[in-house]
Amino acid sequence: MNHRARVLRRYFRAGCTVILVLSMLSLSSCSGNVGVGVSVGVPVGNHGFMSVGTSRWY
Amino acid sequence: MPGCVSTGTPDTSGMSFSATPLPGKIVWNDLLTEDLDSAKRFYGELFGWTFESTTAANGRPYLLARSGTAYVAGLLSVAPRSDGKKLSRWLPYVSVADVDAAVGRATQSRGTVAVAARDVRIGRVAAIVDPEGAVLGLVRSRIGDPDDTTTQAAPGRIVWTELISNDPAAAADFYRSVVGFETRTIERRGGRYTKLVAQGVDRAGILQNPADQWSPEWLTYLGVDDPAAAASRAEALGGRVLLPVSPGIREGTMAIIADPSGAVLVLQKVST
Repeated sequence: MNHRARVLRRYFRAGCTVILVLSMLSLSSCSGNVGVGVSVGVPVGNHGFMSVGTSRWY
Repeated sequence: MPGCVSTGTPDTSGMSFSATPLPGKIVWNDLLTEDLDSAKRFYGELFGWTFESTTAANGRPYLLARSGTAYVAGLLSVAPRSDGKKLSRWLPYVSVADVDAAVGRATQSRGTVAVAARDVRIGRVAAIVDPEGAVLGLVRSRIGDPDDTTTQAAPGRIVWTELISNDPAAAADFYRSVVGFETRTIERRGGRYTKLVAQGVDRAGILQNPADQWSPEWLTYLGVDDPAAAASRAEALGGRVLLPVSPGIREGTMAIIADPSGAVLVLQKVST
C-alpha cells in the first residue's frame, strides 16, 4: 500500500471515529429524555352515568 | 436538536429500555390538565409520585412524574378553551414503527388528526382521533421504549390501557390497521373482551361501552393496593368517584374516578 492510501485510510478512520463519538454524545444528551408534552386540544366527551348496577364490565 | 427541550436531564438510570422500539406497547401517558397545581398535589398524595419541572415544546409547564426510580407519566398544563369545553384527560401513547405512516393509515380508516406528526423530546409523535372520537397518541422513540421490566405492574404505575367503544369490532379493525395490533377476543364474566396484542404480549383492551351516554375514550388504569381506600382518598383530595368499587364489577378490583380537573382514570388493584 502506498503512502497516499495509508494516509487516506487514516483520515477515513479518524473521520469515522469523530462521527461515532458525535453520535454517542448526541444520543446520550437525549437518552435521559422522557415525556411528550403535546396538547391535543380535543374536548373530552360525556362521562354519562356509570352505575354499579351494570354487569357489563367484562 | 429537536425535542431536547427539557431544562434538565431526567435521570433514567432506574429504568431499562429496549434496544429497539416495541410497536404496540403503550410507552407513555400524559395527563393534560387545566389545573396543574391541583393535579400535582392530587397525584403526589394519591400515588406518592414526585415531580420534576420542565417545559413542553409549546412553552407550557410540564411535570415529569416519578414513581420510585421510574418516570411514569407527564403532567401538562393546558390553557382552558374559550368555549368552556373541558380538556383535562389522560392521553396514552402507543409505540408505532413509523408515526407518519400510522397517521396516514388512520386518516384512510376514517380517523382524524388531533396533532400532526412532530418531533419532541421522546422522538416523533402525533395524536389521532378514531372514528368514534377516542384520542390516542402515537410515538416512535429515538432511544427504544421502556421495557417490560421497567413497566411491571405495581402501585403507582400505569398498569393497563383500555378503549371504551360502542363498536368493538370496528375499533379492533381500526387499531389493527393503524398500529399493527393482532386482536384476540375472549369470553369472560359472561361477556366479550378484545385484547390488543403485539409480539405475543397483551398491550391494551377494548370493552363494549358499559355505561349510558359515555363517549368512547381510552382509559388509563393506575395500580393501587386497595381501590376502595384509594377512591376514598381521591375524594378527600378533591377528586370525584364516578364508579365505586363493587363486588359485582370485576370482583371489586377497580374504581373509576375523576381528578380535581375532571380527568378520568381507573384505580386498579394490583398484587404487591
